Amino acid sequence: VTLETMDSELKQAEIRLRQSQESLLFALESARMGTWDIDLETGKVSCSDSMLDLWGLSREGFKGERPELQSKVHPEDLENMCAAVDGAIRSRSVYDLEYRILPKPGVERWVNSRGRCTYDPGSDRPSRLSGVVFDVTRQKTEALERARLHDLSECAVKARDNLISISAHELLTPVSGSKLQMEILKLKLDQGVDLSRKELVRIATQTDENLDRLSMLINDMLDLSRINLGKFTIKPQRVNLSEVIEEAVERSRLLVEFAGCVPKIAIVPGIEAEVDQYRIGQVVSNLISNACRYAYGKPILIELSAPENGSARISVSDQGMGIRQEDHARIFERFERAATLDENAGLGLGLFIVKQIVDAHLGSVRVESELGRGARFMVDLPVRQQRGSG
Amino acid sequence: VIEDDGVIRDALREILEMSGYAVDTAIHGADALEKVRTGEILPSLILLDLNMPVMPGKEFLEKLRVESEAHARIPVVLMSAVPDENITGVAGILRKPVGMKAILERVRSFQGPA
Repeated sequence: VTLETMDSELKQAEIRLRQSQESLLFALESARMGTWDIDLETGKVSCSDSMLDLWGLSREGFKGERPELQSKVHPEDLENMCAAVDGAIRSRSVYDLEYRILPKPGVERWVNSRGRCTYDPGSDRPSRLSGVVFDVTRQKTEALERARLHDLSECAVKARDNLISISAHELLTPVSGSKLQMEILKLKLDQGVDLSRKELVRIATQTDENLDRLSMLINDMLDLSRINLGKFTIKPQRVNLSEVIEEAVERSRLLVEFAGCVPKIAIVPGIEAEVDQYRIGQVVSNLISNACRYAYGKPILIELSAPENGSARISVSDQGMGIRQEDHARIFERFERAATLDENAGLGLGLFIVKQIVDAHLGSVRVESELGRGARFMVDLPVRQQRGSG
Repeated sequence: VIEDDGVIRDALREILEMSGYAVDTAIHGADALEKVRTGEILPSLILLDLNMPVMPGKEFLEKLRVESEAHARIPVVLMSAVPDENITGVAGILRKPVGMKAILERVRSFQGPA
């Protein structure tokens, strides 16, 4: 073997090495992957251009110091990262972890970092730390989004199960009452007991009320399903709003009396508006039944005031337990109520449905209340131009 | 009979009275606790609804159990549409809608020797 051939082979090897380095660099860049190496004696760091790129550092500005890299690690993840590296050095194993880096203001990246330590053959002291980092931002974002959607769907399933359980209970109460009542009636008829007119009136009235209660619950459930399916619509017509509200109050009178509440009415007559009268009646009766539930035995004030700035205001005020400030927005969401489930019956849909109806009329609803000081629900309805909404 | 729904409460009273029982009723847990505390006799059996305003059945049960040894011994039958799995130490559960026959059978099973 001559020197010449050796020289030529060396040159060939150099070319192959450069080619393979180039293709490695290309691979690193394409995979959004960087390599790094730390001399543990001197603390000097060398890393690939792709690594600096990931870290938001420039080749010219990079002094090869470890803190330059660490300062870009998310403060919440830094401790974890250092612990993993130290652990791998001690246990002579490979570390593999994901953490966030902040390459530029407003930019957050997730990286997967794997590294291991090499040890000085003589002293057995850790000498170099080297490894690779991958940009896994996209995978991580997707995984987080999947987890979020999963949580969301789990919540929805729970809410549905909860609704089924609450509905079952709410539906079975009037069914139970009427069932027992009918059994007693049947028994008395079988035994030839003479029933007084008064007793028959009572049974008929209570059965009728229980059936009304069942219809209301079923309608609420149907409304919820319409809202969920985006099929909730209103049919506005020019009507006398004052009369619509008076009629709704009248329909709720029995309920109000049952709750031992005294209704006070202050309705400005003759207010015209283009509304869905069935739905607005429902708004009023839902607000009244809410007041009855929370303000047992106390007066309830129902008002309709003359339009101001194109909106008429319906308000229902009670002197009940009141609602904490922080709950004011929550109570208009589905399945929510001011108190816990055990204390106050109902599907928790009343105010949610009120809000949907008012929104569909391009109006607004809000509550003024303090704990222990009663509540005032106010519905502002535009009385001029109206459009149905889906 | 501790039940917030008036129709159910009155019907239970009527059914039991027709069968010769002496019945006292309460509209919720707090009302019942008050009646049990001040009453001259201890009930031989309590029929308890779970979902009630002011004081629900579960809370009443807990309070009754610590009232006195005699109170703690009163058998309690729950009446609920959706029985709570976490309630223990009750003498039985009647699922709503509960029929007259089931109520009477259950109540009779607690009758001591006459």
